[in-house]
Amino acid sequence: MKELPSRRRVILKHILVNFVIVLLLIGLGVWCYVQGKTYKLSLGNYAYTDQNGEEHPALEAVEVFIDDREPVFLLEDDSGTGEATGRQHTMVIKLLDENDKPIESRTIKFSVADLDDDLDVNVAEFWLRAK
Amino acid sequence: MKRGPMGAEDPLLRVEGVGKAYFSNRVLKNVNFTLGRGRILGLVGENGAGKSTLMNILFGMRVIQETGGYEGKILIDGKEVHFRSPMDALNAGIGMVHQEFSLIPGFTVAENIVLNRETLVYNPLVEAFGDRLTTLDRASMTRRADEAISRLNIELDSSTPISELPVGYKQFTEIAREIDKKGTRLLVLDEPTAVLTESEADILLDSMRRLAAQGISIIFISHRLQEVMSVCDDIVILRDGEVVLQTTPAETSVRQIASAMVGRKIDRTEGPAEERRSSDKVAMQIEHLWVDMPGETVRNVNLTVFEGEILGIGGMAGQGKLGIANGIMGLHPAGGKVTFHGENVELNNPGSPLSLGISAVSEDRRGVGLLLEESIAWNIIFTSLQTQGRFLKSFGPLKIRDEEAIAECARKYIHDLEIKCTSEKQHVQELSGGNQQKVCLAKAFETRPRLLFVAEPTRGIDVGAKKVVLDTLKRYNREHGMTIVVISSELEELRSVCDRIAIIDKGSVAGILPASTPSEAFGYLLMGAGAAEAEKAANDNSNGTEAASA
Amino acid sequence: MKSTSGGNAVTLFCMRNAVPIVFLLVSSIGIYYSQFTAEYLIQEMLTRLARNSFLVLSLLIPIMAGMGLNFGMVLGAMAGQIGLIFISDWNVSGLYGMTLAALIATPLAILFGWMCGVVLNKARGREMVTSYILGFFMNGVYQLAVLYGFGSLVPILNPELVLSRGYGIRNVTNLDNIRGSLDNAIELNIMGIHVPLATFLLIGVFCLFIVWFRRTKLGQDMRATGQDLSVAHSAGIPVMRTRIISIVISTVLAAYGQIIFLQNVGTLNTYNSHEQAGVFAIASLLVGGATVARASILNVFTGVLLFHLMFVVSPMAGKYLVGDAQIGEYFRVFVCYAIISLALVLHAWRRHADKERARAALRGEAGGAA
Repeated sequence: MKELPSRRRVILKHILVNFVIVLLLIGLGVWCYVQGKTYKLSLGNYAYTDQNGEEHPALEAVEVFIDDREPVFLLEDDSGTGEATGRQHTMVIKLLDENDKPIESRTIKFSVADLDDDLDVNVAEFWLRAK
Repeated sequence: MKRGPMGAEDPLLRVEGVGKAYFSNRVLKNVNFTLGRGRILGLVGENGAGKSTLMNILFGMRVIQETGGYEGKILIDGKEVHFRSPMDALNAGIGMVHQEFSLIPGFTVAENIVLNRETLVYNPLVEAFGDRLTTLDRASMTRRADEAISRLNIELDSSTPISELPVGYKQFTEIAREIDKKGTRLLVLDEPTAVLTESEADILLDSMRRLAAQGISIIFISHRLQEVMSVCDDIVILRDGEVVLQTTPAETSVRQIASAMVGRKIDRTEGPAEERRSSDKVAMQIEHLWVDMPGETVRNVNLTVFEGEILGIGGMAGQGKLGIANGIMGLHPAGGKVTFHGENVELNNPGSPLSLGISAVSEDRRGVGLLLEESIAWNIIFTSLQTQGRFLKSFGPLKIRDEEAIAECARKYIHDLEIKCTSEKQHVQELSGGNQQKVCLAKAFETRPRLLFVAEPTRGIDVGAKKVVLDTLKRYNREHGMTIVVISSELEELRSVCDRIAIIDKGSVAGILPASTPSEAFGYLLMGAGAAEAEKAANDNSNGTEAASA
Repeated sequence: MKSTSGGNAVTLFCMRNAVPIVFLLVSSIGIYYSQFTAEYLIQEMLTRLARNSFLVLSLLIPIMAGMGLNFGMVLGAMAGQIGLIFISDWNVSGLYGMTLAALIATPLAILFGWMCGVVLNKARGREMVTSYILGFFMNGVYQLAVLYGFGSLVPILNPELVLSRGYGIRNVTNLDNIRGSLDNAIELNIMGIHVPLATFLLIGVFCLFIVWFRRTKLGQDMRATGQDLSVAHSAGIPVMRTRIISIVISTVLAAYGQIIFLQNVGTLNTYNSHEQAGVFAIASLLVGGATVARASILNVFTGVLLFHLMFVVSPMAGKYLVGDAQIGEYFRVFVCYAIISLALVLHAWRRHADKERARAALRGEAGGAA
């Protein structure tokens, strides 16, 4: 057995280790918060004007999938709410025909940080940006 | 194993001029002795001789410092030491095995032996949460325990739970624990054989010899004469706080030790009682009495109390003398057969002896004997009122207290017993110890008992009051023919008051002798020697050989 | 004194485990009359085992340390709930939410547990009653905090959580964000019965922790303290601190247990969910054959199983037997408190009898003859 260090050293070591552990736990808490916070996104399907001034119409009918969740169905000028947990998300937008069958599907990755305070998402806009 | 003379150059322990007074009460005076390495010292003495106080000083008990410290010097390896706490004594290598066991019942023998000194294994959590998250190294613990057990040379499986062990082996576990402590050089054993059977005691003595041979010194406190003679290298006898004899087994005899231990007190109030023919009528017959009183267990007492006599019951503390009266009066679980004037006394029922005319004055006057917040008068008549229905006036269907009769009765006793108080209305808790004792006596007397047990009648009372109490007992016995049984730890007191004295040892009667028998004979009985030896000593002593006092 | 014959061994077993045996018998009768299917019962029992075991396991350590039944685990439940209120407010979901709730609850639970431990140390010999009353007191403090402090002093962002007057949390807090997140973390389906595997794994880890803990020095000190305080103290063990530590650990684990419990239920009755947590957990433990002085992991699982079997079965059995499902309700509440009273009485009686027996060993031959 190694020789015992002085009591002060031992106590200081304990305090240091505990401090580090507390910091790590706080970090864990923050990380959980960031990863787990579920945002309610306002999904809209409206006509909009982009930066160049071009006008784009609303989409006829779409299904919006955010991160493998249940789809939100939107008609023209329709709005709904979608939930997204965490910061980075993948949105799959499926354009539907008259029989509500998907004809085209596009995927877009976005971050909650990109959105405004009201968490508005114009699906029509995203459609154009998506691939 | 040669046993040379006491002490030598550089003894392990030297006690020089040690004394102690609790305020004005001196309990130890000028105690000197030496203990060498690997030697066994027997420390012998009656109750109150000062043994416990001496050990408390040696062990650094707080009570010593709190009451003014001690005089004299204690030297270990030639250097003076001042122990301020038991930890200091432990660190110096002194271990003590008390009479009350300090064992965890649900733990095994091994776990108890290494209690709070377990072998530990490091793991990283210690850095964060402290030392106590180390894991126990059970293999190492078992090994240490087995090693300590083998040093004692006894058969004991270290994985046995303590609760399953017989009492003797619990004692061994305690001793093994002290041995396991590295650096134990002096072991104090306080009455270790008190709870052992014969065979267990033999094993213990043998273990002690082994430990001594391994270099551990032992102080063996015991009142068992044969054991002391058998195992000790040196013997120190304390009486009234002083060393009256220091000797070795080779240089002394059983008789010498017994008489030195008991001796003759300087201020004896009276000589042995005058010759009285005692009646042949049996007042109380006690057969196979056992009493479960914690600390004073009675195992098998057979006793006859004759009518009109004063019978004394003596014995060392914890041997059971206090349990007899308490058991018969129903204060503790008891069994056996007790008859009073031919009638059966129902045990475990306090009402039975009281209704048959048996009363008792308890040794615990504040706890059992008195209603502290009540007046003297109320205390005196209380038992009589409750069990005999006296001191009551009838008002139709109701009964109320007859205050006048109560006050008059109280005043009579205050006068007779010289109780110092402001009036019969004064609350009992304001009285001095001696006067409280007199109130207890008055209460018992007022029940007009045919047989009275009085336990420790003069404990804690000043000399003047002592005389009054003892004289009162004698007076009631002579004038009213009351049979009295006095239980006391002071042999001389018993000898001055009683007709016969029974000595209780290990929960049963060791012997009964007339009070006029010289003290040495009683010394034998107190030390657990046989009744026959005591008789022999009694007869021999009537030829005039006196005990030697220091 | 030790009886070795077969018949005596069986009697001894029955006496020691009287309570679980009685419960098993009554439940068997109830199962028959309730007309539940085996599949339904098995599913229910699995769910309840997963839901409640953690809470009951948190009671083991104070018993080890001689603190008796820790009615003060309610304080841990409250700490857990406060954590859940926050994550509900911030809408953090899934396992992240649960972890965050646990992280928030931990310092609170440590504080409550330490307080509780200090108070119980002062009430030595009367720990259980004291913890029971302490639970009531802290309930008051909790309500004060949650009903007045939250929303006013403590900012609450989500208006759905807050009462209409503007401050104070609503009676019912929705825990949809974490509902089932631990239970469903690992999917396992056996013959149509959904098994909450992740929860059981967590419970397993906890059991391993308990087993390991007993082998540490701290665990040994606790056992010594629990069995004989004065002997442990004179051996140099810091008994008061050890007792406090046991309560702190228990309270923290109770907080986690409550989070797991509520995650399964999915709804938080802000002012009620914790109240019965203590009593039900303790009753479960006692039903499993534990006593005030001794409890094992087996007692925990047996107890939860039997206790909740009775819970599930008695309303329906009552309905079919007597025509009134309410009888089942009364029955199970009555049983809860009855079993706790019985255990407390038995404990006091047994302690007294043990002391007598220990002294009887010192009696001589005459004692045996009498």
